[in-house]
Amino acid sequence: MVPVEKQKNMLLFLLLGLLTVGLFTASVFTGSVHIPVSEIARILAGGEPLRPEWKTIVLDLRLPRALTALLAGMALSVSGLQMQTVFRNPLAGPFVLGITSGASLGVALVVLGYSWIFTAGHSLPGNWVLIAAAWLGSGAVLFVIMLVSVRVRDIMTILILGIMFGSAATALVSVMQYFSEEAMLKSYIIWTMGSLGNVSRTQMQLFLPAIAAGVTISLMSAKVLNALLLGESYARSLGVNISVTRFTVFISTSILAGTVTAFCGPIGFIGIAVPHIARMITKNANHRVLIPATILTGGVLMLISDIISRLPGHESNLPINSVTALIGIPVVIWIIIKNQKFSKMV
Amino acid sequence: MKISILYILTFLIISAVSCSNRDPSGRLLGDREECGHARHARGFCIEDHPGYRKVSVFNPWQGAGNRVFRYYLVDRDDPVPPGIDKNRVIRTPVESIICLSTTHVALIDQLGKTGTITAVSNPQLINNPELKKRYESGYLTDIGYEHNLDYEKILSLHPDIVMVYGVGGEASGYVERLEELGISVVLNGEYLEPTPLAQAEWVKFVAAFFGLDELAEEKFIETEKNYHELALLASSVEEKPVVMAGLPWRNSWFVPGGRSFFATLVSDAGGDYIWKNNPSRENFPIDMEIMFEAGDRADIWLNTGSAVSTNEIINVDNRLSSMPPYLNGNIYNNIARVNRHGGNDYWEKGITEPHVILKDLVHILHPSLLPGHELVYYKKLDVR
Repeated sequence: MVPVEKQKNMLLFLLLGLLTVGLFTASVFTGSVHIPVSEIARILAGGEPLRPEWKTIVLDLRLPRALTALLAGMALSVSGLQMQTVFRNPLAGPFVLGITSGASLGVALVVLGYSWIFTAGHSLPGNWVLIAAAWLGSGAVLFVIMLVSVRVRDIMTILILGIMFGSAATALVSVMQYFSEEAMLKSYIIWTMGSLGNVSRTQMQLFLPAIAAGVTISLMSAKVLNALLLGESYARSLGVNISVTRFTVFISTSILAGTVTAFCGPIGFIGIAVPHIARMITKNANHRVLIPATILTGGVLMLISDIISRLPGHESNLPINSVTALIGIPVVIWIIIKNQKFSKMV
Repeated sequence: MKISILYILTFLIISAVSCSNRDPSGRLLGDREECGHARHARGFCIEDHPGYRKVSVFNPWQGAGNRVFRYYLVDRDDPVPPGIDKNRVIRTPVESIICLSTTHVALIDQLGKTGTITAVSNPQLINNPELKKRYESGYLTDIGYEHNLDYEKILSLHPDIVMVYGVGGEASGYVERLEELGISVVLNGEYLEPTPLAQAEWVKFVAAFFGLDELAEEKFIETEKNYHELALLASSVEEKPVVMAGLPWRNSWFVPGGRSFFATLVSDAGGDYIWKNNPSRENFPIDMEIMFEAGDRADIWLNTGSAVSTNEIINVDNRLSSMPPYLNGNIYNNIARVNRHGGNDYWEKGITEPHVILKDLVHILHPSLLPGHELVYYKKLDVR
C-alpha cells in the first residue's frame, strides 16, 4: 500500500469516527421529552438533575438506544459485506441465508399464540423469550445451511437453498398469521418493522458481547475475504481452506444478523446498502480497509436513521425499517447512476 | 454446528433459571372453582390478607400456557407487610393511571375515576366524553402504542400504575421494560373472557386498585340483573332466528367461533348462530363456498365489519347480494357509536354494559319483545 493512500484512509477513518461520536451525542441529546442540554451534561457527568426522572430517561432510555443503533448498524453492515464477498453478489445481504426468516418463524410462534412452546409454563422474563425464540429460529436455519455446505461445493447452490429455507419459514409464518387474531397480528407486524428502543441495560450485557464477538471474527477474516475476491479456485491455490472460510463467515454473519434481529427485529436495507457506500468512499476493494470503513459507515447511517425515526420535536415517531429504506434507497440509486460499473465492484 | 448447540444451551440455561419463578398453585384459566369476588370471570382473583390484598391475574394473553401475575395491594398509609414480593407492591388507592386500552378507560369510568387517567394509548380512538374533551384541550397525553411506547413521557408523568393488556405476551416486552424503569405495570386480561358478563366483571378487578370494591359490586349486580332479565325474556321465544356474521375478504370469511363473546351474546339474545357448534373462542376463517351454503338459511346478518351500508357489502363481493338477509334487508352492524377516527364505543363503554348490547340484539332478533327500544350500539345497514 502506498503511503499516500494510507494517509487518505487514516483521514477517512478519523472523519467517520468523529461523525460517529457527533451523531451518538446528538442522539442522546434529543428525545420526545425536552431536557435542557446543561442537565443532560450534568447527568452524563454523574450528577443529579433537577428532576429525577431525567436521569432514568438519559441513562436507561437514550443511552441504550443510541448504543443499540450504533451496534446494530455496525453488525448488519459488516455481515452484509461478508455475504456480498462470499456469494460474489452485489445484492447479497446479511439475510440471504434465511436468518431473518428463521428468526421470524421463532418470533411468530411466540407472538401468534404459541409462546408456551418456549416457556413451557415457566415465567420467563418478557423479552428474553422473544430473543431466545428468534435466536433458535435463526440458529436452526444456519444449522441446516451448514449441513448442506459440507456436501455442496457450489456457492450458488447454497444461496438458492438459503432462499428456499427462508421461503419455507415465511410460508409457515403466513399460515400462523392467517389463523390468528387481529391484535396478535398487529403485534407481529410491528415486530417486523424493527425497533431500536427495546434493548434495556440488562439486555445490553448480552447484546454488546455478541456483536463484539461477531465483529472480531469478521475483522480476522479480512485476509481470506480478499483472497475470495479473486475467485474460489485462486483462493484455494493461495492455500485458503474454502470450507473453513465459509464456516467462519457464516457463523459470524449469523451471530451478527441473528442477534440484531433477535433484539431489534428485522432491520432491512442497511446490510445491503452500507458496503456499497463504503466501497464508494474508500474506492478500495481491500477488506482490511473495507471492513472498518463498512463498520463505521453502518454505525453512522443507523444513528442518522434512528434520529430521523424519532422525529425530534414531534409527538410521534416512525418505524426504523421504513427510515433505513427511505434514506438508504436514494443513496444507492445515486451510486448506481454515478457508477455504472456497480456490478463489477464486488 | 457448534453455534446451534450454543443457542440450545443458552435457552436451557434461561429456562432453568426461570423455573424458580414457577407458580406453585398452578391455577388455570379454565378452573371452575370460585375465587374471591368473581362469579363469571376466570382471569382474576382477589384475596384478602392481613395488611394487604393479593390480586392475581391468570394467563393474560392467548397461548400463555400457565402463567400467573400477582399484585400486592397495600394501603398508602400502611407499612408493607413482610414476606411479600416488594417489586409487586402497589400502593392503594391509586391516584394516577395510564391505560393502554379503551376498555380500561371504560372500566375506570364506570367507577367514576376518569380523573385519575393521565395518559392513554391512541387517544383519538376514545369515545369517553370527559377524556375526549381533555385530549382536545391538550390535557391528556398520548403515550404511543404497545411496541412503540414513549417511555420518556411515561416516566415524566409519574403514574402509580400503567394498565396494559397482554397481546402476544412475551412479544410485548414493554411490560418488562416498564418494570425495569421502576414503573408498576398491571396486566389486565378482560378481553380474553369468553362471555360478556365475565368481561364486565373485571370492573371488580379495577376497583381493587381504587379501593372501590363495594361500588363495583353494586354496579356489577345491576348489570348482571339486567342481563339475566333480558336473557330470560329472550329465552321465552320458541322460534330462534338464524344468525350469520362477519364479512369476507378475498375468498376467506373470518367468523367468530362458536364459543366466542359474540356467540354467547347471540345465544343469550335468543338467536341461532350458524357456527354455534364450532369449538373455537377466536375468529376462524371459512371458505366462501361453505359460507354460501350455510348462509342460505340465515335470517339476520350481524357485525359486517368495515361495511357500513349494503352498497359496501356489494363492493366487497357482489355475489353476497344473494344472501337471504341481504334480500330481506336484515343486516345490522355494531357501528352506531363510532367516532370520526374509527374508535368504536362498542369496544369501550360497551364492555361495561353488556345488557345494553344484549338489549339491542334482542330487539333485532325479536322486535316484538321490546317494542319502542331504540338501538344504542347497533345500526341497521342503509340501502345505498
